[in-house]
Amino acid sequence: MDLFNHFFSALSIENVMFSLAGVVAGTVIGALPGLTATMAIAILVPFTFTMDPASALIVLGAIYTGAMYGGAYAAILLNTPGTPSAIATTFDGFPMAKAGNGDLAITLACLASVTGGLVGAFSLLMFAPPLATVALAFGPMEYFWLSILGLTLVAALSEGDSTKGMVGACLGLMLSMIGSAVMGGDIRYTMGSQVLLGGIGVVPALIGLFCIPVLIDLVTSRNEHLELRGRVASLRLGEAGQIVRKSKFNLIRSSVIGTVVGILPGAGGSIASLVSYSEARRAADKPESFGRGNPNGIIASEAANNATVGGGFIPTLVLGIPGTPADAVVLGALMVQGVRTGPSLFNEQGSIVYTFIFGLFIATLLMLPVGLALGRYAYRSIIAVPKTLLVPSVVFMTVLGSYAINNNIDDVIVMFAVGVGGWFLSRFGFPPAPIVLGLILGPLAEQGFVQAWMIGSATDNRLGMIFGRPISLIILVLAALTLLYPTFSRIYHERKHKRAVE
Amino acid sequence: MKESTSVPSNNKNGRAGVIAVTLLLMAIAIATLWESREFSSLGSIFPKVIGIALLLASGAALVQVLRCRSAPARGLPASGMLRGVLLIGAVSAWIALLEPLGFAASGLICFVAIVLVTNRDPWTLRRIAFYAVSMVAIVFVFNYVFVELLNVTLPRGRWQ
Repeated sequence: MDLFNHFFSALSIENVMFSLAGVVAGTVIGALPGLTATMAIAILVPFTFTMDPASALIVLGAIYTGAMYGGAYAAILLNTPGTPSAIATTFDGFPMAKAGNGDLAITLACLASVTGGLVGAFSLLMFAPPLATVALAFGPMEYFWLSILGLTLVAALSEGDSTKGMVGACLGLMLSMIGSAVMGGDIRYTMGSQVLLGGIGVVPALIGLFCIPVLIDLVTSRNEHLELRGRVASLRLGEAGQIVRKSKFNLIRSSVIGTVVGILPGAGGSIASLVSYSEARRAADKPESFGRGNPNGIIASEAANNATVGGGFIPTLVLGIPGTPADAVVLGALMVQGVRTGPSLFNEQGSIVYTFIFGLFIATLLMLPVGLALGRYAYRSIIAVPKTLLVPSVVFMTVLGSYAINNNIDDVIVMFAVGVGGWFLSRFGFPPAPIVLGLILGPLAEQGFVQAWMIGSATDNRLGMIFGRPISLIILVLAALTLLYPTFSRIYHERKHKRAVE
Repeated sequence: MKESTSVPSNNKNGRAGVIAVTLLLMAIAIATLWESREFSSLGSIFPKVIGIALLLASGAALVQVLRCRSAPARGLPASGMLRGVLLIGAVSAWIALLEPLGFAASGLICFVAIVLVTNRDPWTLRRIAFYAVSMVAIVFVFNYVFVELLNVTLPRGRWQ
C-alpha cells in the first residue's frame, strides 16, 4: 500500500513537470559533444537545492536519463558521441545515418534507451540491497578482466584488419598513461609539456578522434554529409518496433549488462555500452555486419548505457558508493539535501527513495515522446544544413565542448591534436575506435592489474590472484569467447558448407 | 540503400604510408620502454607491458604490409588535400586566437575562414547573406547558452 502512495506522490503534476523539464534539458545537453551526463547534472544541480529531496532526486534522475540518451544524437548524425557512453552507438549509428537511415537509428536508440532505463529502474526498485553486495565482490583483478573483456571488442572495431586494431588499442592504452600515473603517482610521457600534465582526457580525445577525421574528410570530399533516402516522412516507429521485437533478447541482455556494470563503482556507461556491444556481436549470426550499420549494435549500446542510470543508483543509495561519476554528483546533491545514504536509507527515508524510483520510471517513459520528437527534429536539421555551414558549426561545437570540460584551452589543443593524428592514422587503415577503447579502458586496466600484482606478490600467489578467482574466471571465459567465437563459428560454417557441397 | 562514395584516395601512397606509420609506432614503443626505466616500480609495470605489446603489434602490422597481406589503405586524399590542410590551419589559428581575441571574435573570424575553405558552390548574394546570418546566429546563440545558461567561463579576450 505504501508503494502505491509513493507512486502517486511521484505522479503529482509538479513532479511530472520536473521530470519533463529534466529529460528535455538532459537530452539537449547530452546531445552537445563534450557535455557529458555528469556535466549536465553538475550544471543543473544548484537548481534543485531549493526543492524538496524527492523532487530534487527526480529532476536529477531525469536529467541523467535524458543526457544518456541525448548522447546518441551526435553519435548517430555526426559520428561524435555526445557523451562517452554513446561511443558504441557511433559504430553502427553513423553507418546507418550515412546510408540514409539516421531517422530509424534515432528511433531505435530511443526505444532501446527507454527499455534499458526501465530495466535499470526496475532493478533499483526490486533488487537494490542484494545487488549492491555483488559490487563489493569485485576486486582489482575483476576490474582488470572487465577491461580486458572490453578490449576484446578490438576485433569488432578493426574494420577487417585486427592487427591494426591491436596497434590502435595499444596506442590508446599508451595515451592513457600520459600524465600522472594511477598507481605510483609518477609523471609519465609529458615531454615537459604543461598541456599533457593532466593527461589525455577521454572526452576531448573522444571528440577529436571521432569528429575531426570526419570533418577533414568532408572538406576534402565533394560528397554531402548524409544521404537522404526519399523524404523524412515519419519516425519509422513501426519499422523500429519490429526490429526491437526481433532483437528482444539482445535488448534484455544489454539492459541487464548495463545494470550490472552500472552497479560496479567506477565502471560507468561507456564500459557498459562497450561490453554489451561486444556481447551482442559475439552472439549474432553475422558478427561481421556489426560496425557497418547493424541496428543490433545501436540497441545494445543504448539499452546498456541507459540501464546504468538505475544500476548506478543502487550502490549510491544502498552503500553510499557512487556507481558512476554522475552518481557522485547526485550523492553530493543528496548530502546538501540532508539525505543520509546507506543500508538504512530504504527503511528510514523510504518515502524519498521510493518516490524517486517511481519518478525515474516516469522520466524514462517521458523520454519516449521527448526523445522521438527531438530526434526527428535533429535529423531533419542535420540533413537540411548545407556542408559549407555544417563543417564550421561542428568545428565550433567541438572547440566549445572541449573548452567547457574544464574551462581550459589545453583540452581544446589535446582534442584537435589527437583528432588530426587520428585522421592521419585512419587514412592508413588504423581506425580510431580501438584507440578510444584503449584510452577509456587504460586506467581501469592499469589500476586493476597493478593492484592485483601487488596483492599477488604480497601473498606469494600471483597466478592464483590473476586466474584463481571465480568472477575473474567467468569474465575471462567471456573475453575468450568474444575473441574466439567468430573464428570457430566461421570454421564450423565453412566445414558445414563443404560437407553440404560434397 | 545508397552508400555515399568514399573520399578519393591515393593508393600509391597508401602502402608506403602504412610502412612509415608502423615504423613510427615501433619507434614510439621503443621510446616508451626506454622512458619507463625512469619510473617507480609501480608506475613502470603497465608502460613496460604496453610498450612491448605495441612493439609486437606494430611489428606484426609491418610484416603484414610487407607481405601484401594487409587490407589496402586509402592513403592521403588525391584531391582536395589543400582544403584539408587549410582546415587544419584555420582551426589551429582559432585555438591560438581563442585567448587573445576572446571566444566570440575569434569564433567569427575562424567561422568565416572555414566557410571559405569548405564552400564549393558559386558565391551568390543570397548565399552570402544566408551564411552570414547563420554564422552570427550560431556564434552568439552558443556563446549566450554556454556563458549565461550553463555558466561556462569562455575566454573574453585580452582587451576586455
